[in-house]
Amino acid sequence: MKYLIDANVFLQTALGQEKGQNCRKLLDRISEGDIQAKTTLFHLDASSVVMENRGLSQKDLGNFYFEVYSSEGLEVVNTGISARLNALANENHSGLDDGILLQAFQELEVDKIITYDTDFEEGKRVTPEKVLEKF
Amino acid sequence: MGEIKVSVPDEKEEKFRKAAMKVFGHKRGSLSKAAEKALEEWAEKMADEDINRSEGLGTMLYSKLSEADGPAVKLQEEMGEAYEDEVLD
Repeated sequence: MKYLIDANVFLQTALGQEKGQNCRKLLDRISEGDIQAKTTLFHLDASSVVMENRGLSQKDLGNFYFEVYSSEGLEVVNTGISARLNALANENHSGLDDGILLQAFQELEVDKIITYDTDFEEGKRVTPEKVLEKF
Repeated sequence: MGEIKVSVPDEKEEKFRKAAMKVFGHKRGSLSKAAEKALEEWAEKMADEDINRSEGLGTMLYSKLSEADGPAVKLQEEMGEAYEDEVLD
């Protein structure tokens, strides 16, 4: 099973709380290579901008990218302009953020999007909690 | 093909050049071949020794935004505002 990670998983981890604990476990399992996942550079950068805007230090942001880079099971994909054009041309008007993720979902042949966003079709999404149940 | 530019002390450079030429001959590409072999062997050695300075992506990130309010999906929706703040800063 291959997964695509949405930005809210990174953000929930950074927010802590109970859900954040599960996201933490999930991301650590991905770091170890026990779970294979992908994310887009757009969603990584978007997470970083939000976290920076909420006060995360430059050092912590650097550590974030370092951990992403070092993660055995995480592949970062840089979707191009065509992915943005396709995302915006889509008739479901999901917007740029969700649209790019949906485009990546199709192009990268992943099985599920790991997210808390219920705007995605139920068949396409899964929560971090559900993924952890399988491992 | 990637390119890596490195700075090393003169004596190490000379030692490396001599060794590369001895093994791969005095011709074009011998330094690259030697460097490729050295880089590969070093990286494999480090992997065998299980050198790991990473604490795990989740552990590193966990609760770093303790001052912020959840849920994360709402925070994600603020992405536009966050970019705007960055650009207009």
